[in-house]
Amino acid sequence: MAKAKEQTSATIDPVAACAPEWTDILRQMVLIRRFEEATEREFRKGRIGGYLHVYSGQEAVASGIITALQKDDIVFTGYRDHAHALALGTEPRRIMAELFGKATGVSKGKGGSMHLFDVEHGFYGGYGIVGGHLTLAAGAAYALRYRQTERIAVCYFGDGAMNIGSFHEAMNMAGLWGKAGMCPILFIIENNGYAMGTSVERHSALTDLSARVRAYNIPTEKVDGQDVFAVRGVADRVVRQIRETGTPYCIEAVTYRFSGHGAADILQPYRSKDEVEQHRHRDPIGILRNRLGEICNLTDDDVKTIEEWASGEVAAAVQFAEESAAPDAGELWRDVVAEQGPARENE
Amino acid sequence: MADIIMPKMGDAMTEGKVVRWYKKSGDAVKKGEPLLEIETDKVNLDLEAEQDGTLGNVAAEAGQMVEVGGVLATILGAGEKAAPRQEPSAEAAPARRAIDKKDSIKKSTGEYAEAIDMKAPRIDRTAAASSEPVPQDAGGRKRSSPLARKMAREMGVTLEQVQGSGPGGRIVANDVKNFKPAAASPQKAKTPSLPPIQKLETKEIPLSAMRRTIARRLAESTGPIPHFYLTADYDVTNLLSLREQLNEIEGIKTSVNDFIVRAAALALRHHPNVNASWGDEAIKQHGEIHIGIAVSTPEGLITPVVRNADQKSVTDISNEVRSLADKAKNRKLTPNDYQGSTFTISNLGAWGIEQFTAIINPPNVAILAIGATSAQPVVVDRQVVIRDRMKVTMSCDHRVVDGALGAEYLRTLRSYLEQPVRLVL
Amino acid sequence: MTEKSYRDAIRDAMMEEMDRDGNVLIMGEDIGVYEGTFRITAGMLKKYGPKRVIDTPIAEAGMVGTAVGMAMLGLRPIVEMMTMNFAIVAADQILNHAAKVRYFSGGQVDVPVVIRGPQGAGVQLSAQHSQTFESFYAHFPGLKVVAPATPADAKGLLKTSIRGRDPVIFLESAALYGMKGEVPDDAGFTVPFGVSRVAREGSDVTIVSYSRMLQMSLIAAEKLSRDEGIECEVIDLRTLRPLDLEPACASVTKTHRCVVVQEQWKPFGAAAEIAASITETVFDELDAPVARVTGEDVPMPYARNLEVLATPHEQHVIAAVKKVMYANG
Repeated sequence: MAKAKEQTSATIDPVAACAPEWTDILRQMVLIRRFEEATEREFRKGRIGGYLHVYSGQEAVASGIITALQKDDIVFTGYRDHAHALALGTEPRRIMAELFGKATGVSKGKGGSMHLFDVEHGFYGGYGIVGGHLTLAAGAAYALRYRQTERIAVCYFGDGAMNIGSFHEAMNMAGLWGKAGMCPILFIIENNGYAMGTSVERHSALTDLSARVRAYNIPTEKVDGQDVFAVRGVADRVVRQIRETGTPYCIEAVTYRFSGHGAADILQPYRSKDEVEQHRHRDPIGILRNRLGEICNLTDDDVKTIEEWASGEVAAAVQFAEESAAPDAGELWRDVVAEQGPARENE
Repeated sequence: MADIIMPKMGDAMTEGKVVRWYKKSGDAVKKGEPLLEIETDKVNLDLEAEQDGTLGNVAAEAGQMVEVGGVLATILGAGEKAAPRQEPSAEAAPARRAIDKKDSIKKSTGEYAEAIDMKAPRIDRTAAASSEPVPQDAGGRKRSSPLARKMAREMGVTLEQVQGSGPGGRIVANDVKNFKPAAASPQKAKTPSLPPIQKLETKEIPLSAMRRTIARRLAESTGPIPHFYLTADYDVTNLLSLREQLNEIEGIKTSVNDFIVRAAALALRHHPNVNASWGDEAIKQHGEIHIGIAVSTPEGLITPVVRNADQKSVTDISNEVRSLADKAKNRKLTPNDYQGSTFTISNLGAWGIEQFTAIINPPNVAILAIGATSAQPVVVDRQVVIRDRMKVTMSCDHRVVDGALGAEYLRTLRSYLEQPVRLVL
Repeated sequence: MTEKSYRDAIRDAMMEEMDRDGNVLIMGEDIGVYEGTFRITAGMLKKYGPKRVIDTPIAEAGMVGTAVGMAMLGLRPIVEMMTMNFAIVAADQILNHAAKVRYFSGGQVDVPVVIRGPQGAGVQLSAQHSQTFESFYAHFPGLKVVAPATPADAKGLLKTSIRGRDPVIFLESAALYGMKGEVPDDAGFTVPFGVSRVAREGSDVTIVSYSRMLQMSLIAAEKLSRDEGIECEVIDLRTLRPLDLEPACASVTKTHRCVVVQEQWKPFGAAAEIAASITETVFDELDAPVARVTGEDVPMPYARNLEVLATPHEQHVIAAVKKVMYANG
């Protein structure tokens, strides 16, 4: 069985921690939070349809990993996918437009919240069937190595995805292909404690989730998913290793979602208000902000500037989405199968 | 100032109910303080103030249903004043309008219609005439294959005469091909001899690809109903003299129009496709002939209907029209009196109009515009004589009635109007 | 032209394409070392090595899912299903992912994956291993569904499948693997999708079919010609999605009678779709209702006599032809 590392806590080098990059990460996480708040507001107004799953509380997991990647690395995730697109650099307005079902959306208004897609920025999609994308990501990693590139794939999934067959099939094949150096993939368990409304204790016979991954010969590491320093620290090291060896690795990020499972999850009978309140004290944005304040002299004014910038970005995104046109009727029939013409170079 | 709106709490939620207000207009409120309780199809929950301030006008009272996004109240910041309160009325703001289920269905079909950018004209909005059950002939119609029917149409064979050899007596192509008419073929004499009157039945004639194309193209070029017009000039000398003779009988008082109604109805029996309606999938031929008659009233035009006009005498028609016109003028018509026409006649002869065109009355596919009769010099047997003439203009829906069919109809009508004795047979 | 078996035609197609394009690879259960249960992939591991001929675990969802991911990243994977009956284990990957990712991404990716394998009844494999799946897959937009009836078509259509940009369900008839026929040698030979062919000309009745049932229909047509003097025109659809019914409709315009033949269950089957479309298109030409010849509406039994009863045979086609000719008796 592969090796496990215990919960990694961040060891902070004050010089590195005060690099301007950390302020950028704070900006990104604040942007994600403001963006998600806006999506909830717009959903309540009835301007966003379908399902809506927001990422608030888990920002450090998206930002801590994705900022450690190279530009041409690729990311797959499930349906709680807005943050990953934002972290990869997709314009907020194109995501919001997608949520509004507009032609200017990343997926031309045909995917919606669950199916953000931005190949140009390395985002290979949000997927709506729990666990379904894990095998895709493993295959994509194989293709990256097959084509002799140095790129790696990252695949996010929740604790709830670990009970479905696809998870096990993907892990086994990734582990198998990893033996030949043919599967450069980083799996991220976004362990937020709940599969929808069913807690880990109630959905998993074995609550040490990463133990199941190790059973497939993939090394794992557990990290405090609220501490972006910790997440990023592990990511930097692990990403390098995956790139060099072509073998898979798995990070279990222990995190917490502040909002309901989806926008319709109002009552949340599966957890208490107290529990949510307690976790709010470990807000990843607060943790990062305090840390930067303590050791890098980040001031309240700096934070305010960041907050205002993020709010402005999000307001502009909402306005853009609102003003954009709906897809034209012809879009209905487009992209069902390939149009006539030369094959696309997917790369 | 911030609006408190009915929030969407679930993927399928379209409306919510105000259960109770914890605050009333004018109360100071604090951010996070519960303002009211709402009820959705799934849950009851409290809505909290999103900012400090004063509760302004409450726009939705307890018990009221409000659609998602509808304003429930406003929170006023320091120094802001509430907008003047609007009394609830029948035309209350859409945001507060209680939604009934039918309405939301209408809304969604509306969106669908928009999305598919419907170009096809939709005419048949009233189904009154067609909603009556069609009496089933005891004999039932003869079964036949589509190919046999097509061949019969092309060969001019009536399927009634053909013996079917297929299962259940189905007439198949071979039966039509081998069919030998018992009698000599029908005479092809010219007017005034009439084609055999067909047995009427309510039926739908599926649209052929060609018919669809004709319909679409004509409709696109000229609006929902592609009209065209045919005018005929009839010699009604005999008709006028017949009317005079009839009116000499005690208690009978007919108008020229009554004769025209009967003539038009009888002529329709020969041309079932004129007694028809357009539908997107099929042309519906009506099994009964109901003639609408345009009557002007102070409120505007209305078209009371003489039902089964082909089965009524001129005097019956006369009495009925008079009573309908009276009702119309006294606004006593019931929907049953004016719905369900299959064909319409508009007569402006009394106004001295010589000739005009009328707009088709959907779902009819044709209308007759009757002009005034006037004495005209006419050449008969190389001699100038004075005859009474009347111009009739037929407006046709080209999707259903082609030029030749309209012309044939007017020719049949001529045979009745110029030989009016047929009308009292 | 060389005479080849249906099996060899399939292998030739794959190897020609693997020679032609380094991004083509094949994966499946026991296709490498074991050389395939039907020996379609014999010799391939030796020639192309384990990176291009991948022996997978018994994990259909994993196979198809990883292949979809590979396809999205520029490879052209062929997934061999040991039998198509196992592919329904991967239904989520095929129907929810392969068929839809192009659409919900707004056209940002191609998914050139071919899922191929044998299907069909006839050798006492009983209920779980005797099914056919064309109507199941052809229901879904985003997929292409191919069902070749001859060695030449097997080769030409498979090459088109591999070179395409969309997920293809390539349904091979296990019963036809040994069938021989003339196959063009030209490496550039392909057969386009959505082009039906007239497999036999005739004037009395149109028979529409594909895959093994097409071959059976041809036998029935010969018997009808010899014994009854009835000349059937037989149309080979080749692909069910896209579906080309133009030759079938043109033929019905000539014959005025139509029989559709499929191997599996009648309700909601391919024949139902084909018959309805023909009726919609050339209704006025029909002198009889379109008849369907299908398997019995039961799970496939094991006992040979029951299996024979459950599957369609020439005499069913002959009876259907006579029925639409009104020539019962």
